Amino acid sequence: MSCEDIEPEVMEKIQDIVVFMCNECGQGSANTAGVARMAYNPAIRIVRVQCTGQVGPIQIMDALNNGADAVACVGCCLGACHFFNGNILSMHRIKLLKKVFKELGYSDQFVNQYTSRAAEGETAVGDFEDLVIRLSNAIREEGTIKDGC
Amino acid sequence: MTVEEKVKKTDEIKGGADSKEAEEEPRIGVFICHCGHNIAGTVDVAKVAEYAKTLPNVVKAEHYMFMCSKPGVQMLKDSIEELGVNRTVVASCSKNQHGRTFANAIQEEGLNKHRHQQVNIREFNSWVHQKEKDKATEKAKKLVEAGVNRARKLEDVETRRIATTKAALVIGAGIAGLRASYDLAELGIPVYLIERLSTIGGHMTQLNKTFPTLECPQCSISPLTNGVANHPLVELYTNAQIKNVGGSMGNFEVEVEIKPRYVKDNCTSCGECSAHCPVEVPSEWDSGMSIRKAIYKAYPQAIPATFVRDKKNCIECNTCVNICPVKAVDFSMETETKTFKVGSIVVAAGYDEYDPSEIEPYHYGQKGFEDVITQLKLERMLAPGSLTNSQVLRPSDAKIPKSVVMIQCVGSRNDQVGNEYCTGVCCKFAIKNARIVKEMYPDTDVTICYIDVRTPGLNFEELYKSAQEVGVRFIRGRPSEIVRDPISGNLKVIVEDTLSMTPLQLKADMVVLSAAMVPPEGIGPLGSKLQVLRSKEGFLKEFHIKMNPTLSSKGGIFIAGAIQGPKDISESVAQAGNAAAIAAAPLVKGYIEKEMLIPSVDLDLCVRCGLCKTVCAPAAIQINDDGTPMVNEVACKSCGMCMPACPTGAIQLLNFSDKQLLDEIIPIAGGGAVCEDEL
Amino acid sequence: MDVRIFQFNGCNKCFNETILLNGESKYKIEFIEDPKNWKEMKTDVSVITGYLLPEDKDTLEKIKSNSKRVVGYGNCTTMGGIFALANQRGYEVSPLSSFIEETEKVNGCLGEIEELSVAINSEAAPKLQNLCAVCARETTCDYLESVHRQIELEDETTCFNDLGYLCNGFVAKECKERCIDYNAPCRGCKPIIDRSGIRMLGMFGTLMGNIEVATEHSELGATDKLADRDDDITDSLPDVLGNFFRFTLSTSGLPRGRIPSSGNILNDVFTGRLIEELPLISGLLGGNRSISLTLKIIETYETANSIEVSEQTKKYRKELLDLESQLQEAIKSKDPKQYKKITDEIRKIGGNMNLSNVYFGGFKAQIDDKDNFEDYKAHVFDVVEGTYKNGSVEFTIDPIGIVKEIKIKEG
Ligand SMILES: Cc1cc2nc3c(=O)[nH]c(=O)nc-3n(C[C@H](O)[C@H](O)[C@H](O)COP(=O)(O)OP(=O)(O)OC[C@H]3O[C@@H](n4cnc5c(N)ncnc54)[C@H](O)[C@@H]3O)c2cc1C
Ligand code: SF4
Ligand code: SF4
Ligand code: SF4
Ligand code: SF4
Repeated sequence: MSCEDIEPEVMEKIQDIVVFMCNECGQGSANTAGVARMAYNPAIRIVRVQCTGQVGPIQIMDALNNGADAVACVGCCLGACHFFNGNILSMHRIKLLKKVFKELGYSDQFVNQYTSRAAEGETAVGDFEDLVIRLSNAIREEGTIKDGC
Repeated sequence: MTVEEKVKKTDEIKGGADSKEAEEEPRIGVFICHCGHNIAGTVDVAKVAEYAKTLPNVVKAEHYMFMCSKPGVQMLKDSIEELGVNRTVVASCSKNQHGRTFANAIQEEGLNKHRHQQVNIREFNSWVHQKEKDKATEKAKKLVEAGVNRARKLEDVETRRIATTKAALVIGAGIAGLRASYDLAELGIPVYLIERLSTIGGHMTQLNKTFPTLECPQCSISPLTNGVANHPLVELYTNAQIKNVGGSMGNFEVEVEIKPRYVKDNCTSCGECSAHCPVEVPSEWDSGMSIRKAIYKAYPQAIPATFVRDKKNCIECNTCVNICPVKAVDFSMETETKTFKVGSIVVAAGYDEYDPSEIEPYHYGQKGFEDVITQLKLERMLAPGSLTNSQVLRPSDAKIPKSVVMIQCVGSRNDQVGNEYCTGVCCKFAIKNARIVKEMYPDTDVTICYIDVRTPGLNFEELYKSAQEVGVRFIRGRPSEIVRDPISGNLKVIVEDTLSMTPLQLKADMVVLSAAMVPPEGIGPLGSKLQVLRSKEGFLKEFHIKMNPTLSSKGGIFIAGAIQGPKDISESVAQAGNAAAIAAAPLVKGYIEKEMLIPSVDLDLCVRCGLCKTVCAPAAIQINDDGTPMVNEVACKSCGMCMPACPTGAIQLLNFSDKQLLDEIIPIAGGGAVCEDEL
Repeated sequence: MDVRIFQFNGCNKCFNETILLNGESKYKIEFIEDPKNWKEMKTDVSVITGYLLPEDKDTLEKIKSNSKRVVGYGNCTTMGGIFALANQRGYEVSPLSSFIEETEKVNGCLGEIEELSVAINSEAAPKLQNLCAVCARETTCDYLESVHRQIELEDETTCFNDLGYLCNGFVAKECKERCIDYNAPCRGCKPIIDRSGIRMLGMFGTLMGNIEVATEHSELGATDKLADRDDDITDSLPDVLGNFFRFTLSTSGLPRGRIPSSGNILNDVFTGRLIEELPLISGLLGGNRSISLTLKIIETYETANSIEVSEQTKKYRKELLDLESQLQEAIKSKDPKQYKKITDEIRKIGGNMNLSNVYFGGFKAQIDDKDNFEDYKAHVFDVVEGTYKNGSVEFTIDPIGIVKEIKIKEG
């Protein structure tokens, strides 16, 4: 499916998505996407971090606790982290956090990790789209993260 | 809770070391750029500026046509002078584009440049939400608010001068390493040149002629090999390997293990020992195309000229010890370890020729397929003074081949063997060798099977044409197999000519594989000792492919030649010169400047677990005797990877602390509370 | 000084511990076991124990308005504690601070009575070290190659985390209960920092950096992302909530769980936990019945799986059961001396009031220097799927050892 197929009532619930993007490929690809005027959902808000390895469950929970509908980290390609393995470590932590959400009876799609390539804006936009689609599926099936509080 | 209250509350959170009390009250100037229509066409900039005015600590909020223009920058400067603004937020393009322009501007006014916060509302907003103007404006407001929140707690980042050690270490004495060493030495920098083989010169000394001019490589390289070997500022160590690397940019300590030659420097190179040594092994330098003794010199012109004993194959008959007229042979010599203090390191470890035996259908190295060789072997056959007397002879029966087929892209452009890249040099050397063979033996059919012929650059198209003119045949198609007639023993190359769509079976007395250039053996351990990153192909990765192609991922370590990726000699030399120049700069200057954007450790919170040390890839963290971590401010790359590893949040990167990030996150996460966060 | 001690919901363990304050001349203590029907009265200090539910709000406000100071005692009150694990199944166990403002807290499960005295007297609290500083184990924090479930009981010198067995010691203060002395990793009952569970998640996730994480290719844009399937990361930690958030689920900032409840909070706390953690939890939860409950669970599992226990083990277990009935007497009489004497003896055998020393197959640390420890030493055991039933306790575990269902009959 694509973002256009998402029902308006689901789309309505996707307001704020915090995306931590590393200073290297993450920011790079989003800049490239911008230069190429590739449209994506305005719910996507980018926070600049040095490396996705800098983002821990604390930051992710901070974002969710403050109203984000979903959080993602976007780093360099696997094996191409500019600081060695920051993106991989981040994946490990996010995997654990996903497990926590599952154990709490939530969808595990509220936190995700992606990679992108600085020279290819479509990678960032593809990540954003994938994120929105997964989130919409989660919301359709299990409600938003805010339902239940 | 309002955003403001929340931000205030972040100060009370326990865990995540506290940021220092700001000395003075933050006075923030916010500037929204129209960027012509680029931003203002989508975002209602006036509204955003209006909104910014309502944010705490904002003393000025303006919007302007082009912030990066002279008057725009002046606005920024004026606000500092007139209103006492001490932190600036510019919402315009990306940090890479003009972040520095504004940061430099405030620095000119006496503010630390890290007090500038760049907010990207163009690439991240107006350009990607052109159809959703209202939403884009709302988003811009939030991004600006996040920027203001961040600016409020930005701390000064000191730039420090660190004295450097005036000496350099070069790893690998191929053409690239030699060039770099010579250039460094000429700049007055003492150089330690470390070569793992017993001779210097690398692959270039193995070649017959170099394209495009078909010059003699030995002749071109010898001034450099001699120049380096005799340079008063160069200390050459052969048979040497890097054991350990410590320290950081500007001040490294490198431990080198030097294996003995077992022949002392008084060797006169007379060759008596070699002549009488009973052990014969294939010569590595000659790509196995000739035989050497257990005590030997790789080739007559080899530098250093001192002979070397190969301990592994030596049978210790002592013939050489006794025969040497100057008593230079000494079996008691031992491995030495030396430590060098240097400011920069240049890695020029070159490449290896790809071993094609992995590609099953070509049967390279298999019995019955002795006449399938590589280009490097062909170079060795053609070279002056070779075993075949510079003739092309089939290894199986030493006859001149009536037909030679060259196969391109062996191990290059081939996902199946894991090398997607084009080596880029093979088309050129294949054409070179094809022409030489054809010119030597006009009756021999010389064919090149290619996927694409890649001969860009000055003189190379001409080389290609000249080969066509002498009658080298070019067939477009990647051969699927080399087959051998079991009775006659003749080889055939099966290929489809993709231009005429005809399947062909080419008779081949000899097949030459244009094997790829791959990372040299042992680069894995070397890379990890140096703590530099490698590309997925295994070569050392440059910091930036365009802007910084000779700097490695780690400050102070530079890369030159084929170690960064396949290259020809000219490119290797050019790169080596550049590497030498930038490696020399901090050494000549005597110091480096580094931004102290490093983490600090709250020792009250630190529980001495040591995980921060484990995750720090540039190895910038050391553990003190009492278990607390210490950050090496020069080696730290400001990645922040240590932060989430810390169980108590004791280690926090300056200006990226948990609390600073939280302040930034609050507005853009929507601000609305989910479950009331119990702190 | 007027001190009123209120027991809200839960296991009474902390409430019982306050008996120790009884008889000290400087306090005039009143114990209130039914705060809802408490006759309002002005008081200097109110001590709250037990876990709190939304319906307790009015009562708490009543207490607040009558007291000069309010002190929460024990994790259930200060941060939801062990009962907050039921929030996974929709309960709303909440910390005191979410009901009333300006409270003081004494964390711990069991909260330490000395710390409570200090808080009541508003003396400066002593600065406590981090637990690791007093732990006998050494830590290196190199990347893990694998994560373990059952502890290698033999290794007594390496940090549990280095062995791949999550220990919350890094985020905990030194304590009296000291589970770590009984081969039981710390579950963080006295955190040094806020949201300790989330921080530990970050730490342990990082520590697992060498263990392969499942990734896949994203069609859109063709970059990499985390795969949805399980991998070694998730498989090796079957109960993240129970291990990382044992006492802090309601204060960690995680949203309230949506798993259907069984209707009984006690059963909900146990469900989802791991079999090897059951004795550790029942030891905390049973209050003055914790010994019989813990032994019941252990023995049920032992008998069904023919785990042999020695005579010596049986003897010590019997002693523990006797002590439990004596303890109940002491609690009834609110006699601090008697209470102290009996709890000391329980601690001697059980390790602490949470019974960290009591385990499947025996005990985890030597009880008496004169004993031959090999006689009653607990050993690593296998997870055997099945339903276990023995009178008042009935539980089912799945093949990986997660408690799927549990029924504990009250009384
Ligand atoms: C068949 C063939 C024909 C070619 N023909 C031409 C041509 O005609 N014209 C042209 O321009 N180019 C040609 N090239 C390319 C040319 O060989 C390379 O561009 C050039 O040799 C690269 O130089 P280098 O110094 O980077 O690497 P190398 O020549 O490989 O030198 C690297 C040196 O580093 C040493 N080393 C490696 N690892 C370590 C270590 N761990 N510690 C210490 N020392 C180490 C090696 O022993 C070696 O001496 C050809 C290549 C091939 C394969
Ligand atoms: S001692 Fe060794 S090196 Fe010398 S001649 Fe004999 S075999 Fe050769
Ligand atoms: S910020 Fe990065 S480089 Fe610096 S100490 Fe931390 S992990 Fe090491
Ligand atoms: S990660 Fe480093 S700073 Fe944090 S507690 Fe461990 S040793 Fe201390
Ligand atoms: S983490 Fe646990 S086992 Fe490790 S040192 Fe701390 S208390 Fe001891």
